[in-house]
Amino acid sequence: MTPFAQNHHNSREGTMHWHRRSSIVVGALLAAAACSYAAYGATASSRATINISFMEAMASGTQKPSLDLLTKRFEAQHPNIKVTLIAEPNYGVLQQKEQAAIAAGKPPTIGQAYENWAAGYADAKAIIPLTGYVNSKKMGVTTADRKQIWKGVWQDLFLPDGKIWMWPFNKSDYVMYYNADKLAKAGLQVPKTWVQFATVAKALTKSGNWAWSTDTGTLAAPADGTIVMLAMIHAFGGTWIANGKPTLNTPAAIKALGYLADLKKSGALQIGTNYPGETALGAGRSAFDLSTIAGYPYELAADGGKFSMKVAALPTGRNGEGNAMAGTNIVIFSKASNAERAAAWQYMKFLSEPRQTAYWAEATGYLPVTKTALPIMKRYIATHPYQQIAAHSLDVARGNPPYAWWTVAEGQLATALQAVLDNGGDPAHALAAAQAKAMAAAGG
Amino acid sequence: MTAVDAVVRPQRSSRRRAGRIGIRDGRFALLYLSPALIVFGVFTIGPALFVLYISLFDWNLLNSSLSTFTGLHNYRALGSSADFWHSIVASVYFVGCVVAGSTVFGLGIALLLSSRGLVRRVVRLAVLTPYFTPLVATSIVWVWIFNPQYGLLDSLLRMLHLPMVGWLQSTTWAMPAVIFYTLWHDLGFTVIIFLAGLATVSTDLREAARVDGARYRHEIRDVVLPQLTQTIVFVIVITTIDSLQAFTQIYTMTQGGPLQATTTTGFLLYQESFVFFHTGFGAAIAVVLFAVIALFTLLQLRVSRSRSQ
Amino acid sequence: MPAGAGAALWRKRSRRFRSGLLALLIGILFAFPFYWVIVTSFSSTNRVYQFPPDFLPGTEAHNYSRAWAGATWVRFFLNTLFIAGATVALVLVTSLLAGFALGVTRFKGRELVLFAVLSILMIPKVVLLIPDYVVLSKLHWLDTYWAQIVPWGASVFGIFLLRQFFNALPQELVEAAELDGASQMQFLRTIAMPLARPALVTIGLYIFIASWNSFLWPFIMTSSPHVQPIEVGLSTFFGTNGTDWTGLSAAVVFTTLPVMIVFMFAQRRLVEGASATTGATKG
Repeated sequence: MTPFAQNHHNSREGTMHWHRRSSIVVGALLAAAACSYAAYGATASSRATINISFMEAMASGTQKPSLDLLTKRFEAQHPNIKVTLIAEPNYGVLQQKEQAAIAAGKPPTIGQAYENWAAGYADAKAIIPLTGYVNSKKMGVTTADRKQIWKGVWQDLFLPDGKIWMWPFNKSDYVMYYNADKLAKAGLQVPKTWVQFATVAKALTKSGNWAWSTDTGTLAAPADGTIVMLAMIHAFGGTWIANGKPTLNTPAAIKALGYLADLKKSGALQIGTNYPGETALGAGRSAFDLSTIAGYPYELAADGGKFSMKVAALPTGRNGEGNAMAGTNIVIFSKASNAERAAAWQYMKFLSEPRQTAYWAEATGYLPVTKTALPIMKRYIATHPYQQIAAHSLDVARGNPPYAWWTVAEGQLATALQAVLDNGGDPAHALAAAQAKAMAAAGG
Repeated sequence: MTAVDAVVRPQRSSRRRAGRIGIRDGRFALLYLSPALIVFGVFTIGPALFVLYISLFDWNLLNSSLSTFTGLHNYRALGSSADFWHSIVASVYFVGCVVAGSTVFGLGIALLLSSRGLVRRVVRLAVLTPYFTPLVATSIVWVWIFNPQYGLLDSLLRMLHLPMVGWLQSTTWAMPAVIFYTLWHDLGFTVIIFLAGLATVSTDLREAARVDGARYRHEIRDVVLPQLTQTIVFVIVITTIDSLQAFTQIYTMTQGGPLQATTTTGFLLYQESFVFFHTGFGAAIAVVLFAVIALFTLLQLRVSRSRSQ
Repeated sequence: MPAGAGAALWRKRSRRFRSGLLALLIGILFAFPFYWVIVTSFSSTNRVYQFPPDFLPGTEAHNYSRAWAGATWVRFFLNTLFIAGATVALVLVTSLLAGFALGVTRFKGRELVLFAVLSILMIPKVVLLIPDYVVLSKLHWLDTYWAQIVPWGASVFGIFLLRQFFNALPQELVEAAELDGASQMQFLRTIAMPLARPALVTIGLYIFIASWNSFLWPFIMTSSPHVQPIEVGLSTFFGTNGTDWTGLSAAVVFTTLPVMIVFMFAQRRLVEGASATTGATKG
């Protein structure tokens, strides 16, 4: 959506012909009816092979073989369904490909999507709501199972219209990696609050070493620094959005950015690009990295076994822990036939079930989307305790607000970070500027 | 085979003298042009006209039936967008430096390397090689060299006890760093073109100038440069067009940052079209960018033509 | 006046020495990043981050085995070679024909067509990605070699260069050929094309590099490794959760090396080709 698009959308909605709107409603009802009918057909009697395609960005490291394996298992259980994986190198390309494929009228059956992408897709009627499938008696999810999905993950499946449009897949959130040897040597405790973090960070900053490196991100590509800032806003008692509009310059946000500016000024915080946090931590130059739990293998590789790297939850603020969810959900594109939709739903549900999500978590470092996976992972968690820490944070973690304009808002927040941390700007001023631009993009 | 051979060698005995098609006959010109025109038509001109069309809409890429005609709204929005004007300034900075650098250094290096010798041959290889390496691979290498904590450049500064610079993080230094990389990568091309041009400069005239006791500087200014006008114009036009559209190195090195310091109009176009998916607005930027490039090219050709007359 | 000549010779020698020194410095400036990649590619991760940096390569060959195992490099490399080669071939054919039409034949609207072709060069290519995706999808060419070759099969640069070249062919040559009763295609094939060989070399080089460098295009238009070029392989080193600097450096070394070696042998011919081009254009 362009900043201007929103305005026109609203005026369009007002003048839209009555019969057109009603026909959409009728169409939706028919489609819903057809869905539930097809759902029975697909599970009960369908003999013909149903082909579905999944556009995803799980191409690196252990992600690819693990998803391949899960998909094979699914196909073994559902001999009439064939799943084609279309792997893209990263989320940027994935998003461009999905957009291009929708524009060309040939989207895959399902695809990974962030909340704000899904919002844009739903606006364009390019994806379908999943509420019908989730509530379906035959192939849905029981209330008991639903309660087991982490709170943050569950809330993340809805668009503002109150319907479920996404189903969780690869979820992660932010944790604090730290060099335990360094802290022990300096006689410092692992910080639990942001106030303690600043004290410890400054105490560690001497003789060519510092506490933490991060990447502010840019307008076009927000990075870890941007996301940690978002987590801090929640911890400090602020909001990202309110009433469907961005709120980037709450007092909490100004305080958080001021806090980071102070760290930067003291030399405890350094700014870089291309995952500077893990690089500095691994090189033994800094003591902390605040990053996603999915980056654990990379953090480990960077440290090279030189010191004991440990993981703790993000520090808390006066509002407790704030955290930001990373990773995506899966959506079903509306071009799919009813049989394909039903098959796709079964596949998506399969991936989120305890056994599979546990396997996925153990293999890739992402988090299980449901609590029921934790007992299955007992042995793994014994050797990888950080997984449990991060998984519990999924209760408080928040995903991208489900609005298409959030891409711009997040980018503007990154710009504010650059203005303040790299170029000495004033936090309140920088955030006000970011808020104004985000607001324009949100059409308000 | 030289031209003389071709002419002197008896061709297949001359037949069909009457009624045959002359070499310069234009009746099949369109046929000869058609392969190129079909490719251009399908993959460039057609899509470009489509872009022109959607620039007049609030375009919904995902569902074109939801698009609304807004006339010149996107263009008006562009005119009042601070980001756009900022990108124009960044483009002028980038293009100006890259074009000037490519021309001056390209010519300078070509002059240095035009004579024979082992050293020069090796150096020539060194200068031309970057041009043959993928932009993605080598720009990421430079990101590493520019790294503020462990990069080569800052390590050298630190060893000299000079203040270290966050090259790609600083609004002051990011653009020079990207320009430096671009010159490093692309100078090979201009050097080849200038070496080629230099080979055609009359050696007699240069000798004569030297016998007259002209200093090297004067020899270059009075004898070499005037004969290279064509080549110089060619280099300026090509590098202007290329650098106005430069994208990959900005994408990998700075993502347009910090604070839009390296967001040229070419990168803004990418950002609006492919990060924010403001399709209509992005289309309007493309149309304006096209007009700017066309204007520049015409201007340069006009200037060079009036010069050579 | 032997003394004067001696002084002049001396001046010339010392200038040659100074310019040689300058050339050497420039050469080092250009080559050093490559040396640095080699150093990094042989370093352990720890060594890469230390200060002061080590200017000599280490002995960690395992970066290479790791990088090599990371992607199907041979396939990527052959794909790149095939795509670039086929694109060059196609461009040469379309450019020769169009250059001939615009440079040799005379027809109404010639200048107009030339200007139209030139203006194509000025269209920002990034914005065509999605419309072209739609076109390729309609042609059922997505995820094929075709999608990476045909859309780039005509080049304004190529047409323009050959048009300039043909335009400058001496009239006597054309007349002689007409006298011999050569057809247009015979003239193009047996007289114009051989003369244009240096120009073709220059165009081929330019297009090959452009194809070699294409970045967003293959990502968007293809998905299967068996048709994708080398950039896709390189991109796996800057994934979503970290950058493997030492592995990336190793990959850069072994993907760049073949090109460097080929270029080392071809460089003289390339420059000679390029000079002959402009030389001929002048004639």
